Formats: sequence, structure tokens, C-alpha cells
Amino acid sequence: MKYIKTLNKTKLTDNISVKGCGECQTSCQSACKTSCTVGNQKCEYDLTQFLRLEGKRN
Amino acid sequence: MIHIFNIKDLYFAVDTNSGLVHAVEKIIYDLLMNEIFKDENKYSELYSEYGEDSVLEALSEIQYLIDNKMLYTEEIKYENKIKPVIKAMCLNMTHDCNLRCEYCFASQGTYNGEKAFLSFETGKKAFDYLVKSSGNRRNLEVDFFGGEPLMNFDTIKKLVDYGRSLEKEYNKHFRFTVTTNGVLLNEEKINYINENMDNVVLSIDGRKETNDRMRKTINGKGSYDLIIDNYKKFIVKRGNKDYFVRGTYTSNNLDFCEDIIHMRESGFDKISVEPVVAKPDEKYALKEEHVEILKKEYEKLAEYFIQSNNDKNKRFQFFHFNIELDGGPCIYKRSIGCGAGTEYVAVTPAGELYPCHQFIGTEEFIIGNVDEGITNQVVVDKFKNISVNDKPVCRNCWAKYFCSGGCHANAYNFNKDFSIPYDVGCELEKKRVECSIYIKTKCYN
Repeated sequence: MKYIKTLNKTKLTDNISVKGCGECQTSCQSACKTSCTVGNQKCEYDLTQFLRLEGKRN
Repeated sequence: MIHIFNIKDLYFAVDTNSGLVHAVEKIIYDLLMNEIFKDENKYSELYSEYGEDSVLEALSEIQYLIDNKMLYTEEIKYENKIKPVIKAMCLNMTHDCNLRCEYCFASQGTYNGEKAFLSFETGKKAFDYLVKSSGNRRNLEVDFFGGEPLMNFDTIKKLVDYGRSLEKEYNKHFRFTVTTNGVLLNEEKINYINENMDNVVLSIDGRKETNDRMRKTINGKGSYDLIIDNYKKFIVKRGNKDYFVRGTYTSNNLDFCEDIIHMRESGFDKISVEPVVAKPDEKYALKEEHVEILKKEYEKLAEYFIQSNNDKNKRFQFFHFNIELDGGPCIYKRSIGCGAGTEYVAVTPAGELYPCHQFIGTEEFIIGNVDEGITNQVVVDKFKNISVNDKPVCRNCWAKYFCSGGCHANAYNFNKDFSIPYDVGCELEKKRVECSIYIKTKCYN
């Protein structure tokens, strides 16, 4: 594309069948306490799955 | 739904429902403006500026995005997979404080009640409740809060030990945060906090005159000189672990960018400065007439951020300019809101549960206690059905999946209605998202 550069590699609609584990940080518990922001948080799905598997192995 | 905007020399189109952000040339921006790309009579007027071939080429790129569900994407129909459970807790270690900050939502630490300290026994019960209520969620969050939590430091230490013992027993992971005004920070506390707290929030408003205008000692003097060296010592020992120096700006410092510059020049590299939450009749409250000034201030801050980012010794994080375009939360998380009362509770020294710290002291919002858990389902239910798509104003807002609907307490304080967000807060949040996208493009692309 000559005039458009898409900044993301993934869409919000990608992988919605596996997402939704609820392990990510509660929005207000970060630094704010007065403003809710989620766009700056990280998805913890992959990390949590990894730790669960590690827990089972050990 | 899309949103187009420009800052300085850059132009953007945000596609709300896919979450995609496109950096575009001005020709695309002009074609998307008022959707003139849909009308040949209108877009042909751009031929004189860009040439017919270029306009037609740009039109084909817009069409490509639309065909591939990257622009004007329809609302996704889904059932939210996250079944909220209480997994995060704001634990009020004291209802007392050694400062008397003028804007304190907690009425100088007492939340309009008696002075009180949380006992170890009540804290233990709170942790037991958290473990029990969290079901199969592994990550649990506890913020030691107040009042000033370090006034009850020994109990914090005992509770951290207790939490660690529960981790092993129940396969949980506690993430501890402490939010402090810094007055009582000494070497012992700094070492302990650095070892045991996943995150630390250090309150300071910026320049000495800004800080001291609102953050006063019991004797009415400024607190800046009491805390600044403590914070500097703290971050030297903090290493790479998370912390934020966190300030509040009010109508007294609409030039809050200068406060952030001061914080950065004082050596802090993780900074959060937020708009005050205050009733409109307070003299320091932010009002509608301030919004345009504040938006310009965020742009000024964005330029300072970009300039600092060019020098690895000057780089810093600004909490509200962090944005995860990939690897951010899923759509379910982005739509359920802040979690007050459904994923998150605040606990008072008396063991009462509130939906969040902002509601403490308003008895009608007590939702339970640490002995019995949730006992007032009527109030909890009010917090259950206010996802971002349940709020009419949010449903049609381009930024809804970046902010998730804003702070319920703000909505209630200003509108007495959880479903109507605080509009000044919305305008500022949207500006911060725009600035974050602008920064991302300038610094990392």
C-alpha cells in the first residue's frame, strides 16, 4: 500500500475463541486509581497457560 | 465505526471494532473526512490538489481495507467469556494519614469516618476471602492502600508472608502493590518494598510549588522536601522492577507537562500524572473550559516524550501513553470495564467490602464483609451490567476498546448514573489515546 500503513499485526477479533481467560490485571490496580484504561495493558493468556503447564509438570 | 485524526504532520484512521490503527497519508484522511470517498462528486474535487490518478489509487486502498474487514468493520457479536470473579483487592491498611492533601477523595485518609488501622486478623480474612472467591484464577492482586499504608507497616509484612503461604497451598500468585505518600520511607522500608512489592506507587505532584499547594503536612506546610530524597533513594535501589511516581493535576496546574518534565529531570523514569477527580464546585476542579488547554498540554507532553525517547538516558514511561496495539487485552477484557464490584473490591479496616476504594464511606455501597463475603447482591448487580456496550454514550465512541468505559465512581459522582461517563474524563482519555498512537508511530515505526 502506498498511502496506508497498518500499525497492528493482529485484530481484536483474532483468536477470540481461545481468549478470555481473565488472568490479566484489573484495570484500576495499576497506577491510576481514578481512570480506567485497558489499551495499555498486556494480555496474560500465553504466560498463564505456560505457567499452568509448568505447574502440572512439576 | 472509524475515527480519523491528525497530530502535527501525521494522520491516522482508527477502526474501532477490529482495533486496527492505520497511519495514513493526508490524501486518505481527506477522503475519509465526512466519508467523501463514497461520493464521486465530492472526491473529484480533490483531483486538483492530488491529481486524479492518486485519488483513484487512494480510493482503491480504502476499498481494500473495507473488503478485508480492516475499516468500517461491523460490531462483533459475542458472548463475553470472562465470568468475573473477585481477584483483586484494595486493602486499606489505615484510615488515617500523615498528610492533609487538599484534594484527597478519602477525606485526608479517614473516608469521612473514624481513624482506624487494619488488623492482621482482618487482613488474613480478606486474603482468605480473595483466594476463595477467585475460583480458578491464578493471578491475585492486592494493593496496600489507605490512608497511608506505611503507618501500618508491620501488618503489611505479616500479610505478605501470609499471602505467600497461601500461594503454595492454593496454586495462586499474589501480586502486591503499595501506594504511599513517601513520608515514612526509610532504608528498612525501601529494602523490604523493593524485595516484596511487584509494583509501587509513589505519590508526588511534580514541581515543589505544585506539590506543596495541595499535598500538605498536618501543620499545613508543603511535603515536597520531606519526600523527594526518599523517592530518589528508592528508585536507585528499585532496579528494573515496576514503580510509578504518580501525581494529580488540577485546575491550578493546567501546565502539568512542566511537572512531568520536573519529575523526569529529578531522575524518575516511570511517571503517571492524572486529572483530579473533584466535584465541580471545588476551586481546583477541572471543568469543560479547561479541556482544550489540557489537550494542547498532552500534545506538548507527547513532543517532550518523543524528544526524550531519542536519548536512551532521557527515556521514560508515561502511564497513559503506554499502548499495546498488539499483545494487548482481548476484546472480552476491553469490554467489561474496570471490574469494580465484580473483579475488584476495596476492604476497610473494619472488614467491610466496597466495590472500589472510591466508594468507601458511602454506606449504601457496602457490598459485604470479610467474614461473609458478598452480602449485598443488589448493589453488586448494579456493577455487573455496565460493560462498555451497555452504556449508550460509550457504545458509539471510537475509543471504547481503549478505555473500557471509564471510571464508575467518576460517572456516579458527576451524573449519579453508572451508565453516563464523566465527559471531561472521556475527552482527556481520547486525547491521550491519540497522543499514544502518534508517539508509537514517531518512536517505533
